[in-house]
Amino acid sequence: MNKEPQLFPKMNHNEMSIEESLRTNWQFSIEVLNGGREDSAGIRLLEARAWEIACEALKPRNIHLPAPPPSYDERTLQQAFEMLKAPHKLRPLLQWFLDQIRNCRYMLQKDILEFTRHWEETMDVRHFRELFNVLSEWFSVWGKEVLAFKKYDLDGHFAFQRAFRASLLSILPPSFSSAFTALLKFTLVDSESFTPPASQSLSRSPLLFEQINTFGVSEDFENIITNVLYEEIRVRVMDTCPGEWEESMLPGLREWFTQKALPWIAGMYASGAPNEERLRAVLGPVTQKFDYHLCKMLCDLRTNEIFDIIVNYPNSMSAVLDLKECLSRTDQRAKFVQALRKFNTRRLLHHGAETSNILEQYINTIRCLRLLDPAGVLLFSVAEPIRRYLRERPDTIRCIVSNLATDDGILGLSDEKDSGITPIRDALESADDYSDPNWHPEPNDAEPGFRTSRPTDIISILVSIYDSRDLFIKELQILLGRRLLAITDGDYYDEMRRLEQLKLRFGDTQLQVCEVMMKDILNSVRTREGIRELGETPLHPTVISHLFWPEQAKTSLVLPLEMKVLQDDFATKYSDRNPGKYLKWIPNLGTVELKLELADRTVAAKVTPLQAAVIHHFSNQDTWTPQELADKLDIAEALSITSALQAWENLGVLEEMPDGSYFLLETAREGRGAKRYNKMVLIAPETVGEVEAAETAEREQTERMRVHWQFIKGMLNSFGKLTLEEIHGKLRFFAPDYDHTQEHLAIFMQSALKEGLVEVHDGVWRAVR
Amino acid sequence: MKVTITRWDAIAHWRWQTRANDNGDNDDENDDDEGDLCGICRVPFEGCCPTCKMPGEDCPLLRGQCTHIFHLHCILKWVHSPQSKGQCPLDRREWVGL
Ligand SMILES: [Zn+2]
Ligand SMILES: [Zn+2]
Ligand SMILES: [Zn+2]
Repeated sequence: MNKEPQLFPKMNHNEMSIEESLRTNWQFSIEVLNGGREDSAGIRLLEARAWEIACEALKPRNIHLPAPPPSYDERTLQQAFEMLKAPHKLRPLLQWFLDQIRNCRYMLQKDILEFTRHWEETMDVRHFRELFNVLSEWFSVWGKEVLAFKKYDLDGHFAFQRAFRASLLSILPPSFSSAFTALLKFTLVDSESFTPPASQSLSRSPLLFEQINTFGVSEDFENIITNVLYEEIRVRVMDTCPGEWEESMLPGLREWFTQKALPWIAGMYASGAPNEERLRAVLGPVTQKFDYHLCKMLCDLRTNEIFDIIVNYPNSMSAVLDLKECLSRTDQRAKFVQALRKFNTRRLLHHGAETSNILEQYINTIRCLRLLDPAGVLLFSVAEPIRRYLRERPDTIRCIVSNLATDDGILGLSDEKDSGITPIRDALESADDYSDPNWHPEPNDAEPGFRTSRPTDIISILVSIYDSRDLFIKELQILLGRRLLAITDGDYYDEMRRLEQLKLRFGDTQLQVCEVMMKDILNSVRTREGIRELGETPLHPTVISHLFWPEQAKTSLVLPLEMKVLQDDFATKYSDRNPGKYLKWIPNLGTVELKLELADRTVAAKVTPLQAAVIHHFSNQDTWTPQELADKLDIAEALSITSALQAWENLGVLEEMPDGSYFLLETAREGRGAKRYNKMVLIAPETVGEVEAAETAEREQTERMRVHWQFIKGMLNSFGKLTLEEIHGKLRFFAPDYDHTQEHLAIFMQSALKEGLVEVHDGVWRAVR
Repeated sequence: MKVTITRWDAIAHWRWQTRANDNGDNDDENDDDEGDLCGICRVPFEGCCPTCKMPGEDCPLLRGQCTHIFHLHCILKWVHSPQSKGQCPLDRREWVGL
């Protein structure tokens, strides 16, 4: 206790006289106090002096100026507060202080403006970071004495913080939030630069957040802070995840979040949590919020990539599993369906895509979406447009069937290896009513019986695109016919095995025709063996029950005697072996292997019967015109004769003369003819297949043209009559994607004519109404 | 030039000899002819009757004295039914199989 109160030093010259008188009064008052004498006037003076001292202590000062030495000591200040308590002057004192804070905010403003402007000019976040140190100094200098109120049950600190916050917020320039965002981003990405080296403790938050907490503005900046983290999550996802489908990305992202992002954001909440346990509790919901965002970002990305993910399935299985988790965390299923349907429309369901590609993508979609959503809701909504589109494609069934009947087609058999071949189920996928509002996805652990109610094997799903299986059977029959006739080595085992598999799928009854075909083949083998025992013959006929086989493209062809003798001989023996039956040959089908012995060389070739017939005639006469041969062979189309002649010309056996006739080269020509063809040359590779391919190509052209039909119809309706040339010209000018030749258009118009959609008179087309 | 056929993979249909001159030689004019139908089941002879699955020897034909020809199974079933009175369904003559 000071016996002699210290005299106050002068504050400045102007206040000298007042100062002098006050000092006197103060001295007097102290004496009064010490003497214990009551004097109301004296006390009032004393109170005035106490107020003054408190104000001096509390008054915000400019930190950039040197602090004046105080006119009081700590004890005096305590006494002053003590004195102001009784007359209830502390509350007004605090109020005065808070007003002062507000009034002095211009002092802060200058610093804030300067730092922000510097950032705008240099984008130097490190410099901008200094602002918060400076603000901290303002805060601590201004709030230095405010704790004194605490003793009197006044939360001076809280009130001060609020006033400081209000002042601060009121003077932030517009560009502050950009600068602050940049700073936050920097601390997040490069957190080592501001925090002590990574510590396991979440409570050791970056100093920046401590400062912000001190100013009481965390909540005001919460949006900015969370947005920075949201953005960082987005950047993280977009930097590391696109195209990375072969491994799961979610665990890595979450690891990053827990290790780097969570400690960072924890700083914001650290002040509200006295210990680490508390902090973790507070962070729970925060983590959930950001994990949701993380899942949503990855979900958006994967949804955006889903078409290619499906293309790459099953290599992309990890991405699908990530997406599955993301979809379960976020509610993006509708968006997902919408996106995939849009991609399918744009990238898959158009005339430029091959049917086999569409099927392949559909199959992958089924597999992918089943993994994604075992209940099948997503698949159902995505599959319908694909199925509808496939139904309209003319070659879908053929495509499915040709894959059905091979071991390594797009259908693969991966699904089946475990479960074995299953009969095709009739129930359609749509058996479940997904529009039922009470419908709930079956849980993953649904009863085993749940899925048996609708087809789950890929082939059943594909077959169920169509209402009837008859088309499949018909296509299977065509395919089997082509395959069986192409086999010449007598090894029918593969085809028999496949037929057995198909019977398991479609049932014996439906495949009865195929059964007959197979039996014909096996009977033919026996017949050939039996007849060959009677005498060697190069003829290997396949005898078919024609009603059970696909229509064979039969054209007339009169074979040369050498060939006909072989046929007749075989046919006679056949009838002997099979009483009551006789053979009808299909002369244009099959393949003939020939050996041509010429003056200087031997040529071996595998050819069509027509080509064989053509070359046979040259053994009797060395020059023929195509027309002479056509007459001889009773062939209507000169074109096929010409192409047969050209095939031999290509082998150097024939040569076209200037008059268009063909001449046998007994001696090879120099140059290309000099080559000796002792090896078997195949000049009739898969003739059947070629015809088929040509037909398919033409049919596809027509199908592609079909998208323009509405346009053509519209034109015909509005112009009345148009020539082919006019239609072609207008399409080229007006129709987007029209890239057909006039010939294609002609073929298409012919088919439209057959369908009765248009009529034509003297080359002028009209729509049929 | 000497041309030798070393191998010839050909394709032929089998048919029933239902007419006197059926021998596979001179039926070019009948190329599109699907063959005659069985008068009972209306299925071509080279097809099979409704009770059979395999055509040919498994479902052979039977010619009657009246020269009408049916699937064996079809005519037997018919002849054994009471309303047939043992007559050919086409000409109501007594059915005598050959
Ligand atoms: Zn019959
Ligand atoms: Zn029968
Ligand atoms: Zn009769």
